[in-house]
Amino acid sequence: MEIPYTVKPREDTGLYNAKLGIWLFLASEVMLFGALFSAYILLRVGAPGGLWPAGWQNIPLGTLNTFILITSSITMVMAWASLKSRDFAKFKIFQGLTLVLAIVFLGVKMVEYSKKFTHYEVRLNDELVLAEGKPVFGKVVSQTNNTVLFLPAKGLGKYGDSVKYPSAQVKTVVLGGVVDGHLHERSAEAVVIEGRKVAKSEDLLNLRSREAREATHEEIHLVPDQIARMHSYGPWHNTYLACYFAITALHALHVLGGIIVIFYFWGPGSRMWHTEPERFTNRIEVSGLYWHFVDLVWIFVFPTLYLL
Amino acid sequence: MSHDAHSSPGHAEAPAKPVNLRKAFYVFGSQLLITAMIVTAYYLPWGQTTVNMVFTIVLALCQAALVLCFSMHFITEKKFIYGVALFTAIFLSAMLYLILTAGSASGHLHVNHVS
Repeated sequence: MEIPYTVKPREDTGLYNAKLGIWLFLASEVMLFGALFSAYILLRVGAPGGLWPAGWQNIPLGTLNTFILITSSITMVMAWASLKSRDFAKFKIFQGLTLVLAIVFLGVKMVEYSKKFTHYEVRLNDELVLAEGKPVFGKVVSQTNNTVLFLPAKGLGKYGDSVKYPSAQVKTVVLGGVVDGHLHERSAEAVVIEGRKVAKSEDLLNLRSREAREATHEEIHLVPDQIARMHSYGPWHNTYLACYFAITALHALHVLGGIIVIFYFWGPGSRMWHTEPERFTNRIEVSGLYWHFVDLVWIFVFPTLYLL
Repeated sequence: MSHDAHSSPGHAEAPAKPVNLRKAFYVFGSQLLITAMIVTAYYLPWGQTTVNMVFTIVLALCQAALVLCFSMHFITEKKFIYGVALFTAIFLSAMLYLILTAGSASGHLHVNHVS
């Protein structure tokens, strides 16, 4: 039995099957992204003043990706228009261009992601100097008039068993602070970071501030025992980055889905043009609607996560 | 028309319907311009972040409207699609309303602060 309304529209709705299907699918997508955006906005608005990261994203790369996606949108329109004009060769060119632009978009995204995973925030231990003069790195857990409970560091944020010292034997020198930058070397003996040192992690939140822009970056050598905690700027870093990775990765998955569909219609799926050109044109129109939606989502992702 | 097009058996029953791409290029140009404006606004010394936020959001909404109305042909769609869009808007608004009121009913929003 032949499936009805694959080419000809239904009389009552005025739509062919695939078009109705894609609009219903896009409606569900609006709800999915709408929920994520609203969650992000609630968290952003609810965060206390000055405690939400600003200027953490690479604006030139984000802008480049926006231009790439907008351009892929017009090449998609031109691919569909070529089929309407019965010019299959032109369709192949524009569909191929769309495919290339989509792949470049993902490539740029990968560059952005990889930088996040090589960028580290390193919290340093306080330094405790014992009466004998031997320095031991670690963290003071509690301090009374008579005793100091101390967690000695074993390197790279690991702690040994707590030790109790008489207060008279202990001299605490607070060094602490946070080192932020790109990781150059990480071994059992040394950690080398190309970046800067600040007093506390809150100082790293606003990279648009004058202090952040004027800060000089240098090669900082650390002994693993100095390190209390060391973590990259992945989704585990804080709420903002968790939202950033959730939303942009979901969008990137949609781009990947688009790439598979665009490739199929550019390659093996294009055989349908020779047997059912109208139906094939409709398929390209439907995949185009999906691709424009991916562009539409990015239009909100870029300013929300990169600029505001 | 290409050789491939002429060689396709289905063409006898499907005549060519050339599409006027002028509108699509206007939309493309406008999108590029709006993106440039949004990014420029980011670097401008507004003084107040709220002004920048409102400006950016309004421009992003304009850009989204262009894509929806012209690239996705929403303004010339069938009534049924408007029904689907209306249902989505109502459903999404109701969901947002529930989330917002649930947050205020419990006193305040529980935000996982930046570590």
